[in-house]
Amino acid sequence: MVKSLSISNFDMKRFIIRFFIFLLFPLAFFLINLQVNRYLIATTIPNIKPNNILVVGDSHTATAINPAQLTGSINFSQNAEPYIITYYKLEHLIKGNDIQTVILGFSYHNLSAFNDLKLSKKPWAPSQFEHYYPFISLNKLRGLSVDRQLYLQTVVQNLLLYPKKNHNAGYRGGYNQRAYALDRANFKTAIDRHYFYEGEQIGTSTVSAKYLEQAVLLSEREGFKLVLVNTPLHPEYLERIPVDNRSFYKMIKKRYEGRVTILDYSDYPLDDKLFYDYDHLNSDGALIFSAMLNEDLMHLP
Amino acid sequence: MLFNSIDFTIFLPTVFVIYWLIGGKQRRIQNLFLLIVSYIFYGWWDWRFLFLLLTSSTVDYVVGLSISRSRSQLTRNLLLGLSLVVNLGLLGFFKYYNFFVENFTQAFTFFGTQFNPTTLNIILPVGISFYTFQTLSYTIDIFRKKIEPTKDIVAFFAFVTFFPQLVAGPIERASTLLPQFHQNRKFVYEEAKDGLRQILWGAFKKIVIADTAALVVNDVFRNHETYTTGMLLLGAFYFSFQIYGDFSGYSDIAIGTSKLFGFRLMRNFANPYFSRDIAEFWRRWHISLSTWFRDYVYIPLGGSRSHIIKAVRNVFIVFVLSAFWHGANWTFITWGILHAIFFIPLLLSNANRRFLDQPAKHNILPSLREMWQIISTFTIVLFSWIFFRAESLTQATSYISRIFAFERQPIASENLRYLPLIGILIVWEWVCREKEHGLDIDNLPVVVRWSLYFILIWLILFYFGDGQEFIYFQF
Repeated sequence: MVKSLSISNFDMKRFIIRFFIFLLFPLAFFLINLQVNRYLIATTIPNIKPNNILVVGDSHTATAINPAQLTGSINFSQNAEPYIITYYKLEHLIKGNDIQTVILGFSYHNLSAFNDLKLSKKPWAPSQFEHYYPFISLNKLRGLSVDRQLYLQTVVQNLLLYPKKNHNAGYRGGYNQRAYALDRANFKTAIDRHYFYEGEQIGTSTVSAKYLEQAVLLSEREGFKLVLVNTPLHPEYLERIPVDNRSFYKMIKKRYEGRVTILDYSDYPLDDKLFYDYDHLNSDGALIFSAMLNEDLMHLP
Repeated sequence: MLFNSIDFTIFLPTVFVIYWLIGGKQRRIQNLFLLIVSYIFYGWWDWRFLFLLLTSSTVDYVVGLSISRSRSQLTRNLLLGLSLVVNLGLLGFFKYYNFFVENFTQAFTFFGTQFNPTTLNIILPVGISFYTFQTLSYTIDIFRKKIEPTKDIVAFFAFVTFFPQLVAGPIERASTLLPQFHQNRKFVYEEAKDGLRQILWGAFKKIVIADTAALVVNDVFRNHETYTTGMLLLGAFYFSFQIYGDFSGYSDIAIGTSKLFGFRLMRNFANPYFSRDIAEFWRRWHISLSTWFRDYVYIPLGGSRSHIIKAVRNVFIVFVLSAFWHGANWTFITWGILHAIFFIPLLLSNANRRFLDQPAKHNILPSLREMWQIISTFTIVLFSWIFFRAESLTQATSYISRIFAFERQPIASENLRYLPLIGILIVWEWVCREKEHGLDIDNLPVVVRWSLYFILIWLILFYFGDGQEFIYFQF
């Protein structure tokens, strides 16, 4: 029979009291660092001046859009960035920046369900949290599959241990120059990566569609022009995109026609030598494409 | 459930609070509670293998009582045989089935006979090598009339499944751990405090030393054909500390956790890399396993008291079995044979019990002679670890032959960055070599102690990363 459920033992009380007293010191240290780092995050938002065109997206826009060829632009694209992250990144960057135009990568794979795995599965999750911890939280990611232990580990290591100067280095991204490597690439690798998981077709992402909508609403709220750009894709990749993904993309594209500017260069004919692999341009391809994009943007109403 | 996981950081304090709320005088309820949480702990990994645990526990509980009640030696022998067959049979099936099938196949093929048996996709239940040996010690000790069986089934089951040491030891003896389940436990401040400190020390060795070393080790072993002598030696050096930090770290966490609940487990590691010869190394490394083989295999075979050839045979048998216990691979067996080869000369020259005290006893530094002994013993151990870590004999021999190719290439500085951490560990453990663990530091002022704890916590959080599973989970 269990007797009184209370800890009356002096030794136990002493243990618990001393344990919590000891914990106060590291907790205070961590809290101070947390406040300092939060301050640093808020006051070191990258300034895009004198530019007013912001390029965001994943590796497609990171490799295809050379800001030197796009007047008044800066490229903050980051590899493997899903729309949910891009939306919160835009929210974060809007503060203290006068952004007039946002060019957002908008391709078939951006709406694939593999994006839903990026916050819970390797190889994506570690780098996602490492790049974007300054402006994401478990609350913002509610309803998604998230590797909570990894997220908390990232927060502890970046916000609690010491004052860190360069919080924005991870999410800034940038233009990524690549050389020609199509002869060593495999179109199946890209298709498998974007549309299949563990051998099964993975389908489309309503979460990605939702946060694309959020980005559109943000543009309407904040008054910047949103341009959705589908960068050139090699025909070998393009013709192998699953039908479901293709249809979903077309449906979403149709939803935003008239509401935002959509520039679809996915089937623009480019020589093989302008590609890095089957879904990314190399630096030569970026030069040509960026100049063409610049021209088209200048002729927009 | 891994010790280095958020799940465990929630599990442990919850269990601790409820356990002591139940109270030390409510021993049976505490034992039942420990049994339930131990099953939860084990089942967190894969609930299906709880049935194996249950089977092993049930068989040995019944066999233990039956052996004790039996007057016929034949019956006693048969009952012990039943325990051995069930426990070793389960272990053999899950761990060694594919190994034997593949090797028999190769042997048949060598002699020109086609043989196509089926290998099975068998998952190795975590901890099976540990808890089967623990329960076997119970039935064997009853058979030898060293202990009496327990009628308290809950206490016995709790002894078998006690979660701190269930999956990676120390392998406890019924004679030392089971009586603790029959006694009321009292919360003792000093024990609990020391338990927390030992957990912290174990976590430091696992996360800061072992997991960081693993980053280099995995790369070096995977790509050893592209690396030269310096880097290969560094890889072996890092592995020596990876396996030490990993395994002794786990043991420290297990022992420290047990102290929080009023239990005393045996020491499993006693600064093995300060050993002055191989015999001493085996008195300091994985003590619970080496003493198990000594008491249940070596001594029954005659130990070193029999004829010299038998003594040598017994040593080989023990080292090979001990190696085989680690895994079904010829690399482990080769590792064991190497250690036997280095041990036997000491046995034959009656020098295997030369070093029973601490190195540099009452001195700060070792003498030059001791230093030489320690370094040469460590070198032998380091080279034998290459076989332990390698995935095949081919890889191990290729690794070693590339070391002795003496090709030179500068080592990238990023590969050297973990050396200071290992250096700190070596120095600190040397200073504390006569203590039970590295944070047995009551002699220091509280400000210094708390500062050290804080530094270790900071380092653990800093290096906490892509958590490598404890190496010994695969055994």
